[in-house]
Amino acid sequence: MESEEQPLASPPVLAVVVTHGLHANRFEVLLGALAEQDYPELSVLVVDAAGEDGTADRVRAVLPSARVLHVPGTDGFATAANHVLDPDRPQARRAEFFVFCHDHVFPDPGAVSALVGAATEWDADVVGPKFVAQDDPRRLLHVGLGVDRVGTTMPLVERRELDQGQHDGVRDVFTFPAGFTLVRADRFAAMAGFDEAIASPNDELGLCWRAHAAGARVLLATDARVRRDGQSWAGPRDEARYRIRALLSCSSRLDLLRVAPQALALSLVQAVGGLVTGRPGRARVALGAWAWNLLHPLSLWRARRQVGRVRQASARDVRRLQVRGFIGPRLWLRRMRRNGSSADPTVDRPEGSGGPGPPLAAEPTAPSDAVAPWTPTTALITAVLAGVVLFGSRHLVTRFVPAVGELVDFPGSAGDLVRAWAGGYRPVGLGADASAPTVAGVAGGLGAVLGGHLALARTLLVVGLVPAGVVGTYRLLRPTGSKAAQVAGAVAYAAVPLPYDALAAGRWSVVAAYAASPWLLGRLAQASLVAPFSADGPVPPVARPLWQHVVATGAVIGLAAVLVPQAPALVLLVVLALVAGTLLAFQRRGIGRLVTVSVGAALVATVLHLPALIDVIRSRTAADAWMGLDRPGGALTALDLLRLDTGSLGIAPLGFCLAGAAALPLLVGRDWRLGWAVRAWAVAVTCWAVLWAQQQGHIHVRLPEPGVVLAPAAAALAFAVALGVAAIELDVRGRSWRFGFRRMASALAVLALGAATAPVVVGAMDGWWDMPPGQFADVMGAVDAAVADEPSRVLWVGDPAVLPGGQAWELDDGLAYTAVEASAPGVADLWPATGLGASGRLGEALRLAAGGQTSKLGRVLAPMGVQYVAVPRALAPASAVERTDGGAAGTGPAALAPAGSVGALIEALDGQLDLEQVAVDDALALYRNVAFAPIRATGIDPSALEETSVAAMQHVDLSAASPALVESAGDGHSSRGPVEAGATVVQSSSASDRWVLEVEGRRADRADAYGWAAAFAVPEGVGNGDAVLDYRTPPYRYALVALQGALWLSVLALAVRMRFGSEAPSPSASRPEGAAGRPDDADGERAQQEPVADDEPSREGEPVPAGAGAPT
Amino acid sequence: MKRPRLRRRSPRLPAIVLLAAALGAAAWQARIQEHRGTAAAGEVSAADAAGPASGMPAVPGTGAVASTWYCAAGTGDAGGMADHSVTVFNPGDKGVGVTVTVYAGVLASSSPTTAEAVEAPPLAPPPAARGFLLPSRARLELRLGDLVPAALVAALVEADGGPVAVEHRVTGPHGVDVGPCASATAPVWHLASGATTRDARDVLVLFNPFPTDAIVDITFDTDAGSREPVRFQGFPVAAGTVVGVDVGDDVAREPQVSATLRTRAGRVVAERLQEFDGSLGPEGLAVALGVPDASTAWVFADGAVDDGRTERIVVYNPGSERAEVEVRVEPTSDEPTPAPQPFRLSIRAGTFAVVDYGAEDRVVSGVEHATIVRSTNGVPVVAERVTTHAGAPAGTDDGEGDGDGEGDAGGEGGAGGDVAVGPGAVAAATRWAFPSSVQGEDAGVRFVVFNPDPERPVSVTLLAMVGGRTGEASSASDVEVPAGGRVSLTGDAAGAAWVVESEAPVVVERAVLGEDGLRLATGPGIPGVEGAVPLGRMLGG
Repeated sequence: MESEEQPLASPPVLAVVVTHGLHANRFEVLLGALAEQDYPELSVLVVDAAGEDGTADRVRAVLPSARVLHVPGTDGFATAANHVLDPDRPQARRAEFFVFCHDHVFPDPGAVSALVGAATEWDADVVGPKFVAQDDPRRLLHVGLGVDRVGTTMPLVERRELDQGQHDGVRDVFTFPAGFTLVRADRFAAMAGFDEAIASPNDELGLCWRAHAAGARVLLATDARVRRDGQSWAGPRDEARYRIRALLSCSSRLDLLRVAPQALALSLVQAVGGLVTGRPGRARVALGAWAWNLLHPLSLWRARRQVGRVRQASARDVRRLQVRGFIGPRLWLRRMRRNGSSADPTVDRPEGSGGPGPPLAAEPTAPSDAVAPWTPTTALITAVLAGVVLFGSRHLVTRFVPAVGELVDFPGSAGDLVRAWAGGYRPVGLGADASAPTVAGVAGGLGAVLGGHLALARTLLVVGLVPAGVVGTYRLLRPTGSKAAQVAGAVAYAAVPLPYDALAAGRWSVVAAYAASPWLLGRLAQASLVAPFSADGPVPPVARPLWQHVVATGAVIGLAAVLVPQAPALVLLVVLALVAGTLLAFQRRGIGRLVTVSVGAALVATVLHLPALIDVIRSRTAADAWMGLDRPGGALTALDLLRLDTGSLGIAPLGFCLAGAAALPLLVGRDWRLGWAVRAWAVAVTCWAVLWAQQQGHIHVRLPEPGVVLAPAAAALAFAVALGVAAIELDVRGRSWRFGFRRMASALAVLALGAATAPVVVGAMDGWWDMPPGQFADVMGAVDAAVADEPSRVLWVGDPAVLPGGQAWELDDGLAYTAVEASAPGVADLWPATGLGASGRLGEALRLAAGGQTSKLGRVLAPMGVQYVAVPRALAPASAVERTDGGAAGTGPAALAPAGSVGALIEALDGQLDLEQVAVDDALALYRNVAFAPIRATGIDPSALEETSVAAMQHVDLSAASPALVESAGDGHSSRGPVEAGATVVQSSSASDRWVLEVEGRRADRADAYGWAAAFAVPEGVGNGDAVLDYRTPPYRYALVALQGALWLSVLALAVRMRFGSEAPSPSASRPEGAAGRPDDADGERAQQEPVADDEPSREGEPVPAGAGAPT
Repeated sequence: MKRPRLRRRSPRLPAIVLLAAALGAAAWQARIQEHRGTAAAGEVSAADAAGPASGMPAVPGTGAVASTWYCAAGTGDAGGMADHSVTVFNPGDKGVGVTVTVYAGVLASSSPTTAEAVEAPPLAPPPAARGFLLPSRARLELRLGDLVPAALVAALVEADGGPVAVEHRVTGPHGVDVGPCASATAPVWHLASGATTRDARDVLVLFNPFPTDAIVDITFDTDAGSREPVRFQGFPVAAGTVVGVDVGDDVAREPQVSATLRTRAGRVVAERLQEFDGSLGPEGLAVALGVPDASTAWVFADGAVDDGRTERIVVYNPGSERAEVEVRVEPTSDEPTPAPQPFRLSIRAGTFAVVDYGAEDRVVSGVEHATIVRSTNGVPVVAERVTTHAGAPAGTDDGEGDGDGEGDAGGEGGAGGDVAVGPGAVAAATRWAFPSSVQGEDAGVRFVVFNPDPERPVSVTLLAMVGGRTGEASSASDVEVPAGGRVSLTGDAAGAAWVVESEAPVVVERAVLGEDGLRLATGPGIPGVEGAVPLGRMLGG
């Protein structure tokens, strides 16, 4: 009889159970299962890694024959298990096979016999069992794992597939899950056991890979059946680390050169995907795995050396056992098909409950992303959406972002920009003691982070804003629990023409407002605690104290204010609308919180821009400038506003489709869908009304760009569209099968949403979003050289819509002007009107010329150091403008300006006797001032310095002036050069006692020049040495900047802690009663709602949304 | 007792109603705005068509801090065809510093063999400047050839402030003429009249005082059609120079030549010297400033035809659309005379039409008149008047013309008489300045004031300013000009500059009479910008 023969032929087997003092109940059940094994030569060794006193007693109580080895303080499973290799373990020395058991598996009585039988019959060195579900042994969990070349594993069966024997048999596999692994003892010793760098009991991939490399055979014996739960014993973070370690330690050198870059690229893709989809945890896991491995080079080298000692198989032999291609993408698609979840399949969660952590994991399991489940349709739409946005931006990403309008260049170095921000002096115009915009510091900081690649920083800060807005909308809808609603909201927001029109017109502030609005709306909605943003919503948010909402919302507004200075005021407008909408919805809940949070957040955001705040408080001009231009109205009609159409992109009749789709929740929505739809429409209508009243001249207030005011309206409309989709799922689908009004309205809304996307798809074709693929800097190289040779300014004047540098000083007839010490404004010169100084004189001079009061504007501008006057007729050079959809003769923002105030200005400048016309481009009227004096000059007649009248300067000839202190720092705060003793150095910048001229260490006396500038008398007796002219930034300015930096760091640190840190309360704390919980996701926020059983009554009798319910 | 459950109010209906109302209002407003926009566009185009007051030289306002004048056409060497003098007049209350810079130039060669030949004219003397202080109400005359003797000389007059007016006088062997200098430059200049017949010489003078080289395209329109001579396409005018172009070299033997000059780059001031040698008719010399902007209404305040005088109105359409033009003659006589039927002209784009009053029966001989040229379809045109005067006529009211019959100032032999050519007025103003004076005891000056207002009479005063003093002309104080009518005033102070003031905008022309009674120069004066009104707006052009 076989049962009688087996003991005689049975090789001794040692079952090794490592326990860490956890899961006591399961531990004893496992020992019981081992006791029931039918294999006669089985002995059991319990390795007590915790060193607990009662372990031996508990073992003896269940399995008296088992030996207990106390190894207290042992760190990790591998180290504990490797004690079987100690030479002083006779039981281990005698064993031919080891079976490494985890303390929460339940082997069938014949499991060991089957494993040993397979090993002996097929001469295998490593054998694994078939794993079935603990709660239902008829359900398969694993019959081995497929592995690709980069170590990604893939189950070979569908999860919880019914076991009908279809996978039975003995087969070669690359690896299998850990839990009950048989290893030939001598082979295990040759491989030096488990990799001790791996703390969790999950080294089967590495063990099997090493075995393959050593020429050993790895089998799966399905006759050995082991029950276990579906949980992985290592979190995504550890799994990624161990996967990379196995790859790096087991691959041959040549293979490593080939495969490691591919693996790294995949990790990068995963990281980018995580960032784009708002799951930075994934990015952290993907890149952290590489960092962890590369930070342990010695351990890695030892592991490779160990594998090298036993390596017998060629790399080709190992590869032959691996799955071809990459498993990752296939796995993702498979998950889509299976249950719509993108959760990592390697993290097999226990069904029905939040299971315990891994037995020996040193840290808590990293959470998985648990959001509303994806479906193939939503995934496809999202992919198409991303593709369209990327396709439409392709030239901006791969070539350059033209420096037009507000989208100015980032000149100099990252350090220059940071110094310009911190310096407290703005060279723009005629200079002023004022703060450079925070965006200069942000640009410099980001450039520094990117290794000095300012162009890349600029591309990110411009092109990245569009997807940021779309992702913001997607995230805004997260509490609805409907992936379809999230995706619909994102699609609707991407279909808004605002950002593309803004790019085409060079309106950075509008793109930024577009990016910020959904985040802002989301923060306010969460602060309101009104369903679904409350604990009784489909995806309850984390409960937070009110002050955290204030700070988080303030951080969002503060970030927006980097590019939209009016953001704090704008948020008050939005809240006003939300309050009105709440009242209109016959509700009161949330109003107090909304008002409190918005006011507080506006204050926080204002404080975050502290230096600018000081300027605004000190100067009415700066305050006016921060609020926006005093624009003439009438450009936009009510229908334009309804279409959110501020530019050339769009197909007029389709412009109404978005609003049409957004009306759906008002028609068919119920409960919170209807309530929030009313609020969203209130926001949209309020924004439209304010802008309309201003455009029609009914109110006379300074407003930012129309697109900035329209951005919250656009976000609100997209929100309403998404609510409509949620309403289809909750309020239409489950109510009746009759094709009545609700279904018809839903169908029309879906069609309208589709139609609304058509203009954007068309607009994406050119790859520039209709931006002119050129910039004035391309045709002004000679100007740059001239301005550098002789320090001087370029005075830009014209229509604010096409003027580089954004909102400038206002001239008459809707014109504006700015002046810079380069050919075109840079990021530190943005929004010059926030600092005035003596720059108003430039306007006076221009008014003289425009009014026919002088034919010698050159002389008038000479003391201001203006060498060139530039009047743009379009946003970019004509050659670039002609290539846009609008074209030079079109109506788009890039079109050449028609005759009007700009034409009259050009007429006036053409008639100036000392302005030489410079033919550079049809779209730019450029004049060289033949009478100019450099910004820093010597040789000026002292009597000329006493002339203070702008008009009178036309009778003064400064053409004899010579440049001085030509060498200038990039931040505009310092210059140097040789000067003659006794000379007078005139600096044509707004007078400030912060400017100091030192020659050979001696300070020059300072006097006024022209009534607004400064003249420095070089002391007698100094040689012709170097003179240094410096702007001495006052200490309080540095203190302000430091305080601003500290505030930003504090707020961002708090935001990070709220998002990722331990402050995030556990899900169960805020989970509604009766809802099953999942662990925190990778981002530290609440996971999605657990699948709700079909028979589980939904709230208020509502059907469960498809996207939030069980997989179908 | 179980209380009935309260039904929560749904916001659906109010929200939909409010939203529908808002959207409806938006649509309604957009429609209204569209309608208004169309109407406003119509208003704007009408205003544009009226033409700005700056379409002709103008005296800056009293608050002006500076003014610049450009006197382009004239010669500076001995025996030149048009010896060039500039008259600067300060009608203001304060003295002003004035700088006159004289630029030299040459007549462009008519037959260059290469482009270089055109671009490299003979070296001209460098510009020379002279500055002086011009007291209040004083005038100063400067012969440019004294500063820079050259074939062509042009002057740039810069005043430090105040309302300064500048005219120039050209004197040659065949006549003399006076006309205003330009107070602004322009990218386009139109010259409606011109002749290159055997007895005529038509010289276009292009003055570029700017630091930028100018490139000019010139188009000529004749009875035979439009011509764009190759050498005048991309014709260079170097910075700080003046260049003359003899039109007859390229457009020969044409009795009527209209011209349009367009600058591709830079700016110029364009003037025309028209000389008749008397071999085929009256001899004479005329200087006329080009017109920078076409207008829908032109007024010639003075005019008459009789046995000794002829008058032709040349209407030139430089635009791209056909112009429907009405030329109306407004006669003035002691007895009520019905206005003749207006001449209606339909002028194709790029062509001209000529109305010769002498050949038209409807213009009564011997009756003085004003002429109003009006575009009835809003297409702007340029109108010039060509008058010839063979001698002192009989029966007219310019009795000052009883001279000794020696002919014009420089006339030698020939048929005698004089020719005056120039554009009309495009603006009415309350103050007109006339810097130039007349020479000789028997010479005289006569002013004709036309009141374009068809409803209200207006009172005018003629002021003579001599040596810094102001005096009213004895017979010309508070003279009433009837509505839509005209009056003639006589200036009787020798060596004076003149100012005509009125209580409402009028158009004033001056006739400079020689000692023999010949009309040496006729044309509108220089209006002040303060109180000026485009005639297009007043006359409904």
